[in-house]
Amino acid sequence: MIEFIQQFINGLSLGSIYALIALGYTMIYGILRFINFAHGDVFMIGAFSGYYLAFLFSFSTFTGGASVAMAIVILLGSMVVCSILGFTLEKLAYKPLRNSPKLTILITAIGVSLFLEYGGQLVFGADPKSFPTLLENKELFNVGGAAVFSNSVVVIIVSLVLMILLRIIVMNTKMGTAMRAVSFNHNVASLMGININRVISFTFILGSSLAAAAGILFGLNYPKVDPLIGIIYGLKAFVAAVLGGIGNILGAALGGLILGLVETFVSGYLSSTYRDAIAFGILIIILLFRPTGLLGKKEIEKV
Amino acid sequence: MSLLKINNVTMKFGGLTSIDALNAEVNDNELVGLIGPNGAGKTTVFNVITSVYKPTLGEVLFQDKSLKNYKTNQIAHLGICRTFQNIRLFKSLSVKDNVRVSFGVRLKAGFFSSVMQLNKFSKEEKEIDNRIDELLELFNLHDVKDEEAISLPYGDQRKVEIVRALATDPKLLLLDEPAAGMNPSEKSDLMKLIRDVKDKFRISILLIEHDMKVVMGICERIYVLEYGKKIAEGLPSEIQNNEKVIEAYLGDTKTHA
Amino acid sequence: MKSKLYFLSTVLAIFLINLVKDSIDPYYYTILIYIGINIILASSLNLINGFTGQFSLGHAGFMAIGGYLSISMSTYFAPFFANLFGAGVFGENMTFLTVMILGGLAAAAIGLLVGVPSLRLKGDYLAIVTLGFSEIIRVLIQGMDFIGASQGFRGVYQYSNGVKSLQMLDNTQDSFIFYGVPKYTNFFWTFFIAAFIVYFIYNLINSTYGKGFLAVKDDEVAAESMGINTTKFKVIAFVSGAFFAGVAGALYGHFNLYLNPEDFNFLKSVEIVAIVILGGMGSIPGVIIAAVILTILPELLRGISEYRMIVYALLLIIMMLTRPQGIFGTKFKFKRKKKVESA
Repeated sequence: MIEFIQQFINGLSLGSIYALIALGYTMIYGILRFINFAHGDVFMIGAFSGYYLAFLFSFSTFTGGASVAMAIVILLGSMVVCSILGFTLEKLAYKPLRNSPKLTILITAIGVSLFLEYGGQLVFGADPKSFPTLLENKELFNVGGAAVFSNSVVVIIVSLVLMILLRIIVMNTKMGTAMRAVSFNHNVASLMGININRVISFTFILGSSLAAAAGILFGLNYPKVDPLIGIIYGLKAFVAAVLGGIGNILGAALGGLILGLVETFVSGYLSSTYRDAIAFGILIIILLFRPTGLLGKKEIEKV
Repeated sequence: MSLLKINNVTMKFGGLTSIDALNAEVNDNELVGLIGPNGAGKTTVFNVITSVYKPTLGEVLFQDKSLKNYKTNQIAHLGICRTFQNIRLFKSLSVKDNVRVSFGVRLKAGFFSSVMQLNKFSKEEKEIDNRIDELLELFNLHDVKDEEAISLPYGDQRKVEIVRALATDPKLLLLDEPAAGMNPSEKSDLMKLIRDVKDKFRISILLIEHDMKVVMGICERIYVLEYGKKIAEGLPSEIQNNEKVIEAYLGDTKTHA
Repeated sequence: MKSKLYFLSTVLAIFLINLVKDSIDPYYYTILIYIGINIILASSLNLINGFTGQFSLGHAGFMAIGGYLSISMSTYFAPFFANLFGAGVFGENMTFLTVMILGGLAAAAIGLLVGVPSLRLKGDYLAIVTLGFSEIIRVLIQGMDFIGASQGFRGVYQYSNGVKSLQMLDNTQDSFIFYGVPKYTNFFWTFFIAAFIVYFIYNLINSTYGKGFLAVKDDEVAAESMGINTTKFKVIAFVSGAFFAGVAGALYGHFNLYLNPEDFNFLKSVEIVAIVILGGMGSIPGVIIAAVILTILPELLRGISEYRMIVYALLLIIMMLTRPQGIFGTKFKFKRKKKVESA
């Protein structure tokens, strides 16, 4: 039972990270109807920003002087860095292609993704880096070797707070209403006086900052980061978004949590060799049997 | 004898009823008009006939066969083909190749004989070339057969759409506003051509048009739709004097006059 | 008919060059073979992405299936094939042809399995599913000891009690025969198949039947309405593409004499996509030229190999922003202009 709880918390914590990244995929898809392939790499940049910010802010106390305040500053700092990155990517690479065929944009996104990955390798170095200990990882309880650590719980709580904040922004602010309007229909929204470009930029900023937060939370729980982590985590988060129903914000959160739990339990109880195949297995099954995802709605093609 | 029978068809999209309990039929070698103001559900009727949408209620019969379990591509094989109101030509293909695609319906050559260029394949290709030329000649498109189809003027693009549909050798041709965007003299030329095509190929035609005057001259019978409901049917002369039709069209005819 | 003549004379030329292949410098010979393999890979992907308008990002997966299946056949069953076809040059080539076709068929079969359900999906979804599928293939191979798992596969050890791979070595036995992957791939086979696929696609898309593929790419609703079974056409393109990718995998395996699951990761698929994009989706000569360029380019960039992927990345982005039709994807427009001038 204790082992189950341990796995459950680990699964939730991994799932929260997926969920935060998945939210970016789903929001951008909701607004622009395209898969931002480079989103996983924004997550990677988020983790690396945290890594370098930690050096910048407190290199003297780097090894031992973890404090909650510092961790929050680093979290916010890396969210700002990624917001700027997301904003710039959209303006430079995607905006000029807004009226191009989807395939053109998809290929561009793949290009951007490769650029961030291998540019990252060049700038940060290809070797995995040890992420600094931002918060001391205390053992909350330990029964017969099955331990639950504080950082897993921190990840869950921070993600939850961010998701609630996102919900408030999307449902209760003017910009959020505009986002929903644009995702419903670009032309009508722009006729209603909504500045589409601003909404799209805002969406990229929002999504990228959530990915950055996921990057920092990842660093809390998993000690190594490297420039290519964005590939696999990005893909899995995308699977989470599809699982929940792409374009649906609640669905992305739900999909992330489910995926995290399934992965943790399968590799904990069955086999960890094929761990990375699970997500894609889920993806293929969901697309075959319920392509709209758990919470998605079907769209009718107008002829 | 009735070729196509629309039996009590209702089509709903969420809360919107696009077609409401429609009954209509098209007989052999008949030219029938389907008219009505914008948004009356005319194109939806075509989409239901060709199985692009599955009707919410009711069914469509073609030669007494229910089309319920047929997919769009199989409908073409049965002998119903259509044109599109918002022109949907194949944009990377020439005029000739746009038409050529339709010959796939009766093609004997399959994947392997096409790839390996077997002898019977070459003979068939030559026959198809000749047929395409004949059809394009009929519509006066022969000179532009190697042009990219979407580079033609609108009127010609609509004609290519008609030729492309005719090339599937249909028994029933569905034309969705074939004269849209044409000037009055082009319109009347096209209508005459459509009538000739009907007689030459001995097919039936169901013609959508929202400009009433255009269809009056050539259609043998007319159905009038408004908000998805059939408000009148009959001979052109009857429709012209129908109170309900005049009422439905009042705003429309004024703006188009 | 004309194309048949071109094809046969090209094959003859390939056969003649093959006679003098030993006088080619080994380094250039290797590059030549890779060019041929890339032409096959990119042309087969072009059939799916360029001519039929589907976006597959999993071509490396099919290549892996064909490659692994064929080299494990030619090693595990080496004695069997030697018996069947004899040991000489003829026997070797017959064995190679057999395992190549089997590799292609296996890839095609998996392509059918993946394609039928997933080709209902549109654009970017299909891209992700095919990518996910090829990742599954890679992860599965990493877990399969009998083909070398994550250490890769070089050959098998024949003990008196059976055939084992490196991962399953039996230390209690001391005598064994090692069957390495035989070097069957040569200039002839590589370029014969490259010429064949070009011939194949050329004939296909110029036939009435083949125009259906282009119709599917341009407008699925209109194509369906003209009687084209769009699903069937997409599956045919996907399965034939997978077949040739499998054959390319077999050529690659029997040239490198070693396969590793990492040879077939996501980046391999992206490389193939990059060739098709550069050449122009739907352009046969463009893709051939791009295959040559993108095979030689990394060799030229050898000194600065860490920039290689960045070059690919920028290439994709800049192409999309400035020339989404590819360098050579202008055939049609070009023809039209000429006509206007003569008129």
